[in-house]
Amino acid sequence: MADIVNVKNMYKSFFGVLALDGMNFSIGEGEIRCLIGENGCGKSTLIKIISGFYTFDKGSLYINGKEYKKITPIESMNEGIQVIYQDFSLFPNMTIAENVMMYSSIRSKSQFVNWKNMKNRAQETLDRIKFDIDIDKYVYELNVAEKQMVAICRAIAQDAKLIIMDEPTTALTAKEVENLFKVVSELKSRGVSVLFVSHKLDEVLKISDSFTVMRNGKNVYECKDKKLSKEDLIFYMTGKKISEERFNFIKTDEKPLMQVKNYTLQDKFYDINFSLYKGEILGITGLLGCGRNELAKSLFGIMPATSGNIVINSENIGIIRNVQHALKYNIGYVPEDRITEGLHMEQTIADNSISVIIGSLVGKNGLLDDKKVRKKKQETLSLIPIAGMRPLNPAKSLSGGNQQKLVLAKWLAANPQILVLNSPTVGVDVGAKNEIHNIIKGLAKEGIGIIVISDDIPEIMTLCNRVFIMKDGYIVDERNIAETTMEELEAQIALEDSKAEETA
Amino acid sequence: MKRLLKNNEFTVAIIIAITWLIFGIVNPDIISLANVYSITRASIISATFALACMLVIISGGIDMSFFAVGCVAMYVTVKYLVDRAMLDTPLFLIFAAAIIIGIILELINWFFIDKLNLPPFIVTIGSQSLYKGFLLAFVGTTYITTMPKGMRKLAVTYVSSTTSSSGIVYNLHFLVIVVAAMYIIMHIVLNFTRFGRNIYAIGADVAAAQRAGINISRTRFLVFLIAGAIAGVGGVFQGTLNRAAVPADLVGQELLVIAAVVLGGGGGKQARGSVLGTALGVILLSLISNNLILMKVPSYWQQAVTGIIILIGLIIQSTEAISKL
Amino acid sequence: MEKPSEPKKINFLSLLTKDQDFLRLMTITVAVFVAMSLMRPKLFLTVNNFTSMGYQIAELGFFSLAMMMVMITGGRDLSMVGISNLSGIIAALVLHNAYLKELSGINLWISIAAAFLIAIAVGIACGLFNGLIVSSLGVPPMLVTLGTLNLFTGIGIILTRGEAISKFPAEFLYFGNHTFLSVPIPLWLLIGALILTGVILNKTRYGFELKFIGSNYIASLFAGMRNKKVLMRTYIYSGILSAIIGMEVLSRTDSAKADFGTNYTFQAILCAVLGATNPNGGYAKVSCMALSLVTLQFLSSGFSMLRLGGYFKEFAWGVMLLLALTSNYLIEKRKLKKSLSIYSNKTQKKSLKA
Repeated sequence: MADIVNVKNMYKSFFGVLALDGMNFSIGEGEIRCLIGENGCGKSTLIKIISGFYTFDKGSLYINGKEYKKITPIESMNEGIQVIYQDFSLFPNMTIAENVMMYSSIRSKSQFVNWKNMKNRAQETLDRIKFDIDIDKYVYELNVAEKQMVAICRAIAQDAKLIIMDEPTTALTAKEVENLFKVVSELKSRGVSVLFVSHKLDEVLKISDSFTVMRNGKNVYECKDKKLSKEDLIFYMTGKKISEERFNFIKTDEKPLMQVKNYTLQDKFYDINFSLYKGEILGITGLLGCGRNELAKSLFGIMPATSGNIVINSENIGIIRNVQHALKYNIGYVPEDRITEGLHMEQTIADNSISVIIGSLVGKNGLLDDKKVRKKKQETLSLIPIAGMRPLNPAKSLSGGNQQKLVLAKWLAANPQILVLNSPTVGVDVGAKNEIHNIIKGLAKEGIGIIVISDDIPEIMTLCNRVFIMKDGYIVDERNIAETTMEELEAQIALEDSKAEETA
Repeated sequence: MKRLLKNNEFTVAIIIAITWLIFGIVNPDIISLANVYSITRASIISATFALACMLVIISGGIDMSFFAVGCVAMYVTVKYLVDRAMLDTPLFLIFAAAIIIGIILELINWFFIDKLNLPPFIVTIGSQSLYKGFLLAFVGTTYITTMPKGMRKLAVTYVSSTTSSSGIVYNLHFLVIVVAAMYIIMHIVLNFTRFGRNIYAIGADVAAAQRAGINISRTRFLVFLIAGAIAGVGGVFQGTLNRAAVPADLVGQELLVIAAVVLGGGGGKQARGSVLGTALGVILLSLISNNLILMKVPSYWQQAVTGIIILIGLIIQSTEAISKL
Repeated sequence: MEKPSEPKKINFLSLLTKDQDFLRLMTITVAVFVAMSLMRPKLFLTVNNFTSMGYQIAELGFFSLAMMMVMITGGRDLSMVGISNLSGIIAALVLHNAYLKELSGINLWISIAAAFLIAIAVGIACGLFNGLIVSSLGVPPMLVTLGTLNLFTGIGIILTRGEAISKFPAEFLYFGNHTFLSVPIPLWLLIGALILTGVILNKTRYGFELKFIGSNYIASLFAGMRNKKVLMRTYIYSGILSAIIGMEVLSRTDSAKADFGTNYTFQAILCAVLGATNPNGGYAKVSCMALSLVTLQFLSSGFSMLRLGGYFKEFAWGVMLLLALTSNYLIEKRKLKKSLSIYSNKTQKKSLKA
């Protein structure tokens, strides 16, 4: 089997920081490979070098047997290498047909656009992987899975030999993932190689023929079969054995802190009923599109429910109408997406830390009380220690894990009695993840009721004492973590999925 | 049908039809060939500049300086010729000179917006002031009424004429045909050339366009170059139809042209401006501003009505955007 | 271990960062002052000149403040001048009536007070209208305010039939044309507005939320901030500032016109950007804006004394705006490089330890 890409002893540094430190990597024809590693391990640098967006300092790069000292994006595409980024890089103001043929059209150097020819060729491409959709639809009308298919078609249309997919399954439902895998096997049978890039131990491992683990810019483990436990994989990724204790919940109060009754948001979730006790960590999991995300947002008033009611400390408060309403009852929310929802990256760390409680820092004269403000900033920033942080630097100067700690800290400042955490460690290194888990457990011990919404099963296993499984907007199962295992939980989620398909 | 209803051009066309109909009921003269001729004559200038402005908006920017560019291009050219008594200079040379000046001025915008990555609105509002101030402070402030012969002849070139019910002769101006041809060419460029599609691509998503291998800087360079050329042409049209070179007389009224482009579907987040939409937007605004008098609405109502139309256009666009979500 | 030293650190650092923009502008202001004083000492360094600059600076000052506030949200208010003229016109109708009826004594003062209240009410209404459209539709504020500029100006034209209204009671004209403690009354107003805005920006919850909303709208929503309310208030504040200055213009010029001072929009943007306001939102400083205002006024007066006309000024303002943008760009770039090199040093050390 000839290698499509072969990287030998490659070095690359940015501003004196080594991103690639003697990396070796190769992928052969018709191979499905998973490249896995923590954030910042050098995965994306490697991809950008192969696709021609970065140059490298030292080492050698062979593509289809030819050595490149330097490669441009166009040359890389001409060699049949296609990258599908997480955002797909599609143009919403253009049709599917045009998006599929866009790159080929740019590379063909033809100055004119022949729409009829373009549509025919786009249709042929779609037919090849049996993707059935109207090619005259605009891309802004499509959902995530359809957009991904368009991006794949675009790669195929250029006779791609190697398709690199960046985190391809994070935004897909189980059925869509299955569909993607069908397409990938189809590609494999045509001799096209696929490289999945991921920082999560997820489904892509199942379909990959082999995988490569990266750490600190090096290839630390390569495996042609899949005989490796998750624990070992984590060890290779992080370089340390991380063993997390499970959370041990002791009920201190028989009266529930919060009761959710028949909570419904039309078309999103229905009849949600549960109780949350003081000091409990409750997990809510399920596949993408099961309604967990919407439930999380409606518990915080961002997407108000349409019916049902909530009882907090025996007081019936009805539906949580908006964020202010949620804040009034000391509900805190840590959003999924730090960058757009969690922090104000341009503002200082100190100001970010008091952004939730700013309303409470107003003095008697209607102005902000400087003394209080200063005191609160100090207090909040000492709640969760963030190493090497300067309070007056902007929040964007922090690393991903530290940013997430800051988000937690700013919510803790508000003294929440209930905390809703939506995927609290998404995109955080395994090391920082462990630290954040310990913080969350500590909070529960102080008596805060915590709801963790996550699709990360190991996370649910270490954090929670109870878990609900959601499916199609309903809670379909409840488990005590102490009485279940990771495999059982995963099987349960998959089972619920296949059951639903049978009935559908 | 569903797609048609979602289509912005279709919405604007319907608004035009309804407006025209209502106007026609009040004053039947409005639905006549004579009125069509007069509306098209009145649209020539805004239609020309709208084309330049649309191009920049589709590419994801905005241009507030096109009138200043056009005025400088035209006034400098005419003043040069008049000062040297070169009134016999052939028309194409006049156009060529104005086009070159227009291109240079728009490329200055390009430098700040593309090379220094500065916000287009603030850059072009600055260059607008700079160009206008330059023209008035260093070139001249006088009205020039002895125009080059070529322009004088062009001003009275008609292709067809009709007599209205009141006995006044209305002419279809030759420049209407020229502008129409420019629109057709622009339509072809935007829809059937690689360059045209690239403009839409960078307007929608610069990062994605870069990954597709589009040279962003070069595409923008060409966009501003063409916009400058069109603005130069528009400036000469303005001088021609005015039969005088007035320095900077249009500057400050960019809004009406931008409004036409926005009504035609540009300016939204989806970067879906189109040549047809822009043409319809220009027609709608001309239709209203030209016929309010015939409707016996006092002329001082015009600005408020224009403001309302722009706001309505924005609201329609935003509800469209919402229904897409 | 680090905790006790932290408060000191905060103060010291905040002083340092505060100074950077301020010092830069201070240098420019002083340089312009010295240059003008040297070139035209007999004209520039006179009480007369400073009094007349005091009158002129007020109008631009109010508009610049209003523009700065809206810029913090990441938007632009292009309708300020329209609001100012419209509220001036409506107040003018009341005052002209008072003039015609030759009101005096308490009745006169009642109608002057009514005129002020009405003007401010119009400013609030116009601001509210802008705020409502901007916060409820996802349309760029620039386009919305371009539309409302036309609408407000248009209403003004309708009310005046395109002509100027003049002749108001002398008591009313006093405030735009006289000094208090040898400082023009309009300048007192501006100083008041600057202080008030500074307090609002730095010492109130609204000001804090305003900056946060400007830097990330969605995250502010998740942090429980009152996004729509804050946007609405900002446009209303801009409307009120515009209305006040509309009254000042009315009083100073003894006339109300629908198309007065259209140049101010551009100058206000120039003044705000020169004064270190981030046009993308999230950051502004009243002290810097005030300095930029003074600089522009020195230049403007200086140009007049050098016999450089209004057209030259327009040219110069254009050049200055582009220069200010470019220098901000270069400074930002340098800052970024610095912070990156600090970052790389840190991580290098870290990796050495590991």
